[in-house]
Amino acid sequence: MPSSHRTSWNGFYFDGQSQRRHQVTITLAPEGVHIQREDGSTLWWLYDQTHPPEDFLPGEPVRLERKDSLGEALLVPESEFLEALRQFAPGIAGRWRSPSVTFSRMPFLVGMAAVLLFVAAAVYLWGIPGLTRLAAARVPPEWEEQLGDAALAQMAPPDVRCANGEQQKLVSEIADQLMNAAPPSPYRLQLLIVDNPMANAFAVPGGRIVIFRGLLERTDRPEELAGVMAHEIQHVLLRHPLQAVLRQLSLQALAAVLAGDSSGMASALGAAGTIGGMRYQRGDEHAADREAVRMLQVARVDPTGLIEIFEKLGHAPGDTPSALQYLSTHPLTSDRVEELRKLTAQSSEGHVPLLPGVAWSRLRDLCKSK
Amino acid sequence: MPIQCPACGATNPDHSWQCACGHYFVTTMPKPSDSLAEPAAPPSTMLAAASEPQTRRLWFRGAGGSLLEIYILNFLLTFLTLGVYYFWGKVKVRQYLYGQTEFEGDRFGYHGTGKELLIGWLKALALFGGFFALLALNQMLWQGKSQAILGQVLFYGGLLLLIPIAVVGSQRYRLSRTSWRGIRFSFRGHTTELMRNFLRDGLLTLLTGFLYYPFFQNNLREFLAHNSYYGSEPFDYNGEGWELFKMYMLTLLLILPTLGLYWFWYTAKKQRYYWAHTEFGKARFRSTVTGEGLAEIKITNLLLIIFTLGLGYPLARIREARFQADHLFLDGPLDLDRIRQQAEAASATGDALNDLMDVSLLDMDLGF
Repeated sequence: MPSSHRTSWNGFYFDGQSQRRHQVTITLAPEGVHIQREDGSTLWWLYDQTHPPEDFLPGEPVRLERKDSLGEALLVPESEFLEALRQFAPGIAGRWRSPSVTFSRMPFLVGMAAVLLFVAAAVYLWGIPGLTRLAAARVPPEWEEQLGDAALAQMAPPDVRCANGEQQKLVSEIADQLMNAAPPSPYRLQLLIVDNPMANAFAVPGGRIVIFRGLLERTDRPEELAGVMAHEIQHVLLRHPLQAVLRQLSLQALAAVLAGDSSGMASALGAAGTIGGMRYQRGDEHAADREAVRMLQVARVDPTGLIEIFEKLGHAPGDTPSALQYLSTHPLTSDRVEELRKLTAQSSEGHVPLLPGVAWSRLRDLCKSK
Repeated sequence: MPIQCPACGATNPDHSWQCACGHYFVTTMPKPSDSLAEPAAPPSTMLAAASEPQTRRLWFRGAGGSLLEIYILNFLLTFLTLGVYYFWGKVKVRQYLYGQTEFEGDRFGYHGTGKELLIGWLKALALFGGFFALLALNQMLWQGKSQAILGQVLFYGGLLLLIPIAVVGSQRYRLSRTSWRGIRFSFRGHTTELMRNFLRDGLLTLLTGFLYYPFFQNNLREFLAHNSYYGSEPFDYNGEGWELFKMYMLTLLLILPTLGLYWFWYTAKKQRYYWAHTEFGKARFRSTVTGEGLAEIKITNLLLIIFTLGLGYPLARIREARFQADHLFLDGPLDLDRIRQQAEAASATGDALNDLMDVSLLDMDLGF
């Protein structure tokens, strides 16, 4: 037993019955502590009848609580008492952590936090996109369709759709021509035109494509519409919408785990029905562009329509807000335009004009007259 | 005082650990009821003379660095355990914050456990989930106008019932896990009573276009204070709804012209009023919080958190705790001697419900 540590300490005793502090003298011994009150009465506490003291920082009073006795405790103002206690109780000293250890752990903790952030970043950048791609490939098309239908019911319910038969028929013709140029897929493509002045178009999981009247009105020839349709069809064929949903879900779950936030978990589960906040990755846009141009070429449709309509949406005069709508979900970066120009320059001949004999300006405005 | 060994009967005159026969002596203090009379006031100079009127205050001794360390460790372990450690981490934070708050030379203690919080969270999830399942069921099974109305009724009615559960359960849990000098606090309010209050006050608030709201708040404050105990002694609140109403009206007038800044002055005024009408025994609380002070601490904390990308959050909590401690006083005689331990058990459900629903908008600030 090291004699370098004092065995006798001044402190306070709380009896757990009233809040009164009793001044006591505490003596450390191999089996426990001996407590002597001012009136001479004494108590003993064996070490294994006490709770290990909680983490204490240097300079704080040390508190020793009695097991199975509510409120009964010893308080020693000098924090060196803790070290002395550890010396006298080597058997259970392991349970009691010395405060000085706490501070030396700071570099280790900071290092671990940095590793943690790195791992989280890696998961975000590579893990989640890779895994969701794999997962999306395994989802049956019927489930995708149901998911898409649920989203459509919210965003494009039947009462806001353009029901003009002639317009619907001709637009479907364009869609069929494009689909014939694509390899067979399990998706039943369906085109819906929504009577809304916003210039936007998107695809939901399962093969439904929604085009807003505002975008239709900005086209000058059918090839431009075909360009947008081809782009959106490719998003569907490449399963981008589903991947985006899965990514959104797993990112929210990751964020909730990192933040340790229980309400985050609840909202992650609730977000399962929301597709509105969906974002495509940048790589997805490039892929959709490439495949769309190829599809247009195979279908012998002039692909420059795609560039034209995109540029129009980027430089819309007047009601800029609605034009920005399309770009907010499909950001048109300068490198996309570059690549599109390169791709379309490669194909030069073999185009057959779409819908010859149809006055496009009349057709596209058919929805308005509803 | 010699002690007789229960094993061999020998007397032990020199208070040694062990009898000659090998039996360890362990004794406990006789209970106060066993003693002849209440012990005379102890000669200890550490105790303030209990009956002399004076002003007492809270001290907050914490520093940002230690709490940051706790937060980093929590962050790390929560991630590694996929979220399970979250509850144990929360306990560590509370233990630190309570343990750094000092009154009359002694610090508060927090006695909750991670397991209790976890179980409470699961119960809250079930309750909460059940509530939303009911709403979803309503949406699925019925269509049309009646469904919409039923949905609204279910939602608001459900909330009016769930929130009292959260409030009472949360107070009961928190207070029963808080101690000072070994004596536990407790909350003895009944959920059914608060539910009745809420239904009545909620209806009145709705019917008066929210004019009744200050009265609602006052009633809640009264319920919370009356039913909170330290040991055997209750707190008391005697504020008037009318005073709060006047403050509320003034705020409605001034909030727009001041671009919302008046909110800080209103909150400070309300806090001062609350504390000035809260008593413990014959002592009365007093808050010196001002609108400027509140604005300063809240805004600087917000900037701190933003500009450190969240790392400053522990320091912000410390600053807030210190601010609150620095501005709360207790005036008057404090007769602590007659207070007895009267701990009440409580389960943790309400606490976790609070976490999920963020009921802070109901002004549940009792300072602990």
